[in-house]
Order: sequence, then C-alpha cells, then structure tokens
Amino acid sequence: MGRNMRFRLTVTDAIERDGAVLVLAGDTVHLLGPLASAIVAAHGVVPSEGGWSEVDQLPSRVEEMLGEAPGSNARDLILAVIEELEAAGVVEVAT
Amino acid sequence: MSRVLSLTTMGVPLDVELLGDNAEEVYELAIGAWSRCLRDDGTAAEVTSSLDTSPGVRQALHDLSPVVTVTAIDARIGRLLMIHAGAVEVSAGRALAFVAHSGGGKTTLTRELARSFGYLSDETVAINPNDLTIEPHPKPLSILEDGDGFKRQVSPDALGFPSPVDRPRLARIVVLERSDEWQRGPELLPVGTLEAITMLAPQISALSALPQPLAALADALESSGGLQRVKYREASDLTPLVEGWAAT
Repeated sequence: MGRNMRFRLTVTDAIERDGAVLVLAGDTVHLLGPLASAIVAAHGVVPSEGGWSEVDQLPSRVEEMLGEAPGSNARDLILAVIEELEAAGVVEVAT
Repeated sequence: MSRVLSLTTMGVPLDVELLGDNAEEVYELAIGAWSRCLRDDGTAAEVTSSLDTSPGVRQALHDLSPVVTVTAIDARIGRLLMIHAGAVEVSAGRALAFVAHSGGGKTTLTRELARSFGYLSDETVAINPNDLTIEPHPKPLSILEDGDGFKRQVSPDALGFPSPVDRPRLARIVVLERSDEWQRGPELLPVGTLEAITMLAPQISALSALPQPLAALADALESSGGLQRVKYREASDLTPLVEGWAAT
C-alpha cells in the first residue's frame, strides 16, 4: 500500500462503547480490536457521514488516542489493520 | 382441494392456503394447534402463504410452523427486532426472553416456565424497538412423541399455559448455556453491550434492515438490564430464579 491512500467505512451501522467499536457489514457484526477501533474513531464512527480519510493523517491521530506505537512504525501497524478491515468488508480503500 | 387458515401472530394478520388432498384434515388439526393465533374477527390478511399438504398430515402440520413463522418475520423486516428466542411474561407487563441456538433448550425451558408464566413464544420474540413491547408469537410447541421421531404440534391451550395478562415489554434477556456436566445451581454472568450484540446478532432475523440496528439493539439490551449468560443443568433449576425476578 502506498502513499496518498484513502479509506472510508463501508458498513451500514457502527456504535462505540468505552472506546471499543462494533460495526455491521451486511448482517455480520465485527467487534474491532483497540487499534481498529481507534482508526475508525479517528475517521469518524458514523457511517453516514463517511467521506474519505487520508491514511497518512492517521498515525498522529491514533497515537493521540492510544499513545506512542510500540516498536514498529505506527503507519505500518495502521496499514496492516486497514488491510484486515478491507478484507472483512469494513472499509474501502482507494489510492 | 384447499382451505385457508387465518391467523394473527407477531402482530401480522396472515392467511395460509392449505393445498392438496389432506387440506381439510390438516385444517381441522391446525385450528386446534394454532388456537392462540386464530383470526376470526373478519380482518383481512396482510400477507398470504401456502402449504402443500400432499406429503402427509403430520408432515404438513410440522411444516406449517416454519411457514407461519417465516411469513410473519418477512412481513415485519425493518420494523421489529426479531430474535430467535423463547419468552414468557414473568409479571404483568414484563417479559423475560431467553436466547439459544436450535436445540439449545428454548422449548424445554418454555414448557417449564409457561406452566406458571404467560406464554409468549418458544421460537421468535418480536420486539418493537421504539418501546420494547413484544408482539407475541404463541405458536404450538413441537413435542417429540415416544418412539416416533415425529414431533407433535401441541397448542399452548392444550398444555394449560396461561396467556399474558398485558402486552409486555422486554424486561430481561438471557442466553441459555445448558450442560449435563454443570454441577452447581444456575449461575448468571453479565455480558457487556458490544459482546452481547456480537452473541445475539446470529440469532436475529434481518438485523441490517432495521433503522440504526446496532443502536436499537444496544438500547434494547441496556434498557432491559443488559444481557446475561445463564449456566444451568435442568430447566426446572431456573424456575426459582425466574420466580425471584417476577417478585422484584
């Protein structure tokens, strides 16, 4: 995945409780892990307001929520999670 | 040969056209089994369905239950929260719903609790998401006959089940975890909202068709005290627990 990548939510509904996010894609619910929840929260949890978010803007916003990324580059971690979310049908990615 | 069986269930007036050579006999037996759902006030059906009785009377009576249930569910997609669950009215206006997968103990528990509490359903609990009122689905219970392999469709009236006193609202919801290996009395374990939705979603018909479905389900759960898992061995073990809930 390269620079200038964008993503948006493709789910039909989402809710947040105590920092954790649950999304509905089709009739399947996905309980997102902490990093995925932070990514969706940084983007905006409400699907109907779904414009595109720039992936490059995420690392600083996610680190504000979760603290500094351990070990690996924050962007790499975020890209890995976005890839998983795309495979699960939760987000759509564009470059 | 055909007969029309007119019912109302989950708030849906529906007709089932019984077709084939066994239609008359199936009709006569069905009006007994479905006594709690019979519609005889002259109102028109909102939806219709049909059932071929040619495979045999017992097969047709067996097949009638899913036909009615699915027809009613389809008519309320997007309007009601419909959970694969049993339910009883534990006290006037308050209902307990118990969720389990098929074969997970809903009917057995219903038979136990509905001897004392108002019978709402052993199959589907249809909840109005705006006020959590329940539209009853008082279908016949499927009871296995000894040495037969066929389940007989028995009316709740024939079983002596009381009817609900009032139009109840969802007051409590549990997930059944029955095990022959469970050695203690019933144990209740609370479940957080998001985990609860994850557990319940596979047991809900057309969840995505509701407006803001996750918020609706979260509201139903949080308004009814949150989902609880209940571990137990025998259905009769839960009766004192439910009696306690009824008294509070």
